[in-house]
Amino acid sequence: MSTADLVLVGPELVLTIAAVVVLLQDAWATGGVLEPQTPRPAAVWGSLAAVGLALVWDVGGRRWGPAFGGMYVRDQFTMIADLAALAAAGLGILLSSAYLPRVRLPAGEYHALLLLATVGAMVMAASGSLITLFLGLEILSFSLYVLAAIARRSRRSLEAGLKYLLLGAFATAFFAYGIALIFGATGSIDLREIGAARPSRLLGAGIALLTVGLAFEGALVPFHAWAPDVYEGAPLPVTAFMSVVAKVGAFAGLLRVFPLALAHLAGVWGPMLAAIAVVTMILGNLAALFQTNLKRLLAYSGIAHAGYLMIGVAAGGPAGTWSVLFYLLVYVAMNLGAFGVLLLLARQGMEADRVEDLAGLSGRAPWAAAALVLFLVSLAGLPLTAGFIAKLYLFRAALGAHQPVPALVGVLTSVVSVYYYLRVASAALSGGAPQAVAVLRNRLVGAALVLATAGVLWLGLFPAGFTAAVQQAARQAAAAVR
Amino acid sequence: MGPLTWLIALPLLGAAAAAAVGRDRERALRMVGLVTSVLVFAIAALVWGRFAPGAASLQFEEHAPWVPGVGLVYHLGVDGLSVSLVALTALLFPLALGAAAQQLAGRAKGFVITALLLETGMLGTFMAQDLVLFYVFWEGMLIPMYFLIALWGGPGRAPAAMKFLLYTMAGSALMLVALVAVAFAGERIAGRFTFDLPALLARPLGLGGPYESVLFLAFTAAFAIKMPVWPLHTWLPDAYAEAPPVVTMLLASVMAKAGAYGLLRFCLPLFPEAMRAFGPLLSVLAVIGILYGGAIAWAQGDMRRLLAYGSMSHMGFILLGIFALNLPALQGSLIQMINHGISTGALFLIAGMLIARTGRADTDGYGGAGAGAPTLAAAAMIVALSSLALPGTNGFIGEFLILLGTFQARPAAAVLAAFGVVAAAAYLLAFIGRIFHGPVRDGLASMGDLRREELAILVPLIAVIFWVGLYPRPLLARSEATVRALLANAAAAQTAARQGPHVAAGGGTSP
Repeated sequence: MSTADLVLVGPELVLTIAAVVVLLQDAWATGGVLEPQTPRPAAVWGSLAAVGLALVWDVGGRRWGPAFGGMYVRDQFTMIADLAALAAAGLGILLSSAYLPRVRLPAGEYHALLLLATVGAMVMAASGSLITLFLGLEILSFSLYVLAAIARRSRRSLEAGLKYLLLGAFATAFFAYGIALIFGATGSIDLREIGAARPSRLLGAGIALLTVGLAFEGALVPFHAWAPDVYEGAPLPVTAFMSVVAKVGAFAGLLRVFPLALAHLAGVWGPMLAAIAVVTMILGNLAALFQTNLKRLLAYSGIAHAGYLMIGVAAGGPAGTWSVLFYLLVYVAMNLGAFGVLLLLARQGMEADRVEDLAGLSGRAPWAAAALVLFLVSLAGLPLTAGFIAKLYLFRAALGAHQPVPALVGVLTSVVSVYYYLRVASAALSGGAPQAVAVLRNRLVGAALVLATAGVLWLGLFPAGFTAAVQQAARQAAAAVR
Repeated sequence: MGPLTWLIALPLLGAAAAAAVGRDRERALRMVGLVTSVLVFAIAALVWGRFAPGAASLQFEEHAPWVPGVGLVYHLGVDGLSVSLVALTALLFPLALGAAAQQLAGRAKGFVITALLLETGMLGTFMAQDLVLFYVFWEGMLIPMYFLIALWGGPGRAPAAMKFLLYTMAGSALMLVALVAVAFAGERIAGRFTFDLPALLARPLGLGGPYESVLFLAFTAAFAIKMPVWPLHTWLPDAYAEAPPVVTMLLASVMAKAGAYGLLRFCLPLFPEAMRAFGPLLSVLAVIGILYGGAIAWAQGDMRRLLAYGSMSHMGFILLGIFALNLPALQGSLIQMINHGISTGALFLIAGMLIARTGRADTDGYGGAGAGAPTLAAAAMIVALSSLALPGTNGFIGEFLILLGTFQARPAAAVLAAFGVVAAAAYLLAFIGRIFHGPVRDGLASMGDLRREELAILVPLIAVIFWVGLYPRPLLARSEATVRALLANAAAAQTAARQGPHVAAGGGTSP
């Protein structure tokens, strides 16, 4: 380990140190009190500052190269994935700032775990070996297990955390066994060396097991069953953050393994992953049609979006890689934005998570309602929003890789998704506001919504700059493993 | 920024301005809507007036890179196909916003904003020259339209709006995949991946065979649902009847045209061979649509449904003309697109004025309304006569040219379609007769005639009816060169296809 190594992992380091400081400061400040009544601005601003610093280091630093003997890779691919993870963290902190004191969640632990989960996703994106990937996955998912259960007094939150932990541990076991088999087949855990190895049955089995672990984290069918329950049970800001950061980590990992390391075996895994994408899109979208609880609806919509992202992974090649990278950032903005509007509502002090709670929002908070419509339209993949451009890129990658079926299923299920997204949008734009639901005003949540709106509009109308960045990142990463 | 970008940007700016005005200042909101749309019309009229009639190529072109990495360009332009449609759209919006002011009191803010967004989408659809840019506007007009129906419509608005949205989106979803496939086909020929339509058409795509048919059908499905073509019309009666009358007018007058326009802009130059091969089938569907729409319209008791089916019947003529693939028929179709926009639009506006007065939409509830509202009755009569193609009105020019051209290509279809003209006379005169003539029903004598602002809305439309009917030359001249060039290119592509084997029959990436 040299200084150069430490400079390269700087962003992760900043977040880790911040997480520890926030946790310690919390312990000192509150003493033995578990549920402090007072808001904790220090935790909020400290975490935000850490995210900002990591972002500057990451994007502004532009130092590329392998570290720790090639186990860690910092390149433009890492930078773009980090951008998505840090955006998720920053928006997640802003969005939860009103919710935490209101529901009396422990702010110190919440922020520390949120920062650590972000570190996990970033490590996954930077993995040059399977061990790094495993470490990242574990850091990410352990933080999320605890975050899901952070509302100690809520049985549903505890149930969510426990379900997530048990199933997640199971998936992790598959993942670890996959690493073992791959090591047995190739004698290496380095992604470049695995990519250069001769294909064998043992390697195939190992890769299949690896896929199980990553597919679980990304909520891909048939490893998605945990998602609706965990999303519904976890506190709303946790659900929001979890829904995006887990995807960033999982799909960055999938990209590192399949299109980048195993590019030469695309003929083998391409159709398999395409099948997963197709099944995931169909099931996620159809199940979302019947949801009346907004958290569950967004959970199934999250599964559907995992399916769309998988189109790009299955297509492989640089086009598949960069379209997934593009989609990840867009997904962070639009999904957190939609959750953010829900976080502005409260039904008798509780979460307002039913479709009818949104009724009449346009009369009470017109800007929030307009933003919600924009996010939903973007999630549905309709034009003038980033969601459309992102989907166009994925479909283009699929057709370019001679995989018309995922593209066709993708557009058709997008039509299905229009039904449930616009049903929610119509609810927000019409009807009378229910008495029991209050609309909160909060500057930080408002700032998060403004940022997310700007992102969705900017990437929808002027995507050229970011497109060029992800294209270059994918080319660089592909060239490096060859 | 050229005039075409202003046409797109102005409604957006107007919508932003309306968003900044307080919701209870309805007068100010209406003024924002009206002033914006009048300005847009002024620019569109300027473009129409300055358009050089003799040239086949695009004019007022604007070309800028959008996303160079994936071959997306911001390319706008108008040619003979689109210049008059742009002017029509820009003309109808101030009228619609003016009429809406009277029909939708109390919820002006959202309506003005949404309608202006819709205007951007519709104008952009007719001007975009990049496949994806076109798609952006094409779908972009759906969302405001959905909300206009779902939030301001009648009692059954929610299901009608959703049906409309899902139907039209299902059609255009396949078009999205197909247009990416077209761009890949272009890359194989020219070595450069681009969605720019003129660049793709610079050399023959060499699709041919079943692959061309599949792509053609994917595009045509989207356009046929919008028009709508029988049997893809089942969303139409619900949406037309539940939408507020001014929105129905925009649906029938502009959105239906976008479908027909798409066939000419994209299907004819990109898939000339399939256009010829599927001609008989689509002509049969067109004739069925003409006769079916006419017959069903005659039997309707609800005036909006009557006009909706009548509109569908008239769209059948346009479809028939397009697939006749000769100069008179295409010219007739193009001019009929304008006519249909004017006449059907005026009929829906008149229906809206009647409903606003009495609160009822069934024709049986009326009778003798002409006694209390003679000017309204006269205006309705003129518009109805133009819609059923009386010589001297605009409808005659269009339908005559379509039938003339179709008779050269498909005599049987032309003869059958001519019965549609008879059907139109039947249902339109029934419409006029049931509402304005006969014994005067209770309360209708005091219904009140056209107010000044209503007259101001109908007079421009009636003026266009007579202008096109008596002096169609400027309209026909603007489209002729473009139509000739389109037909010549299509014929050349067909000969090339017949002489040699296809360059890439089936295509390397064919699904």
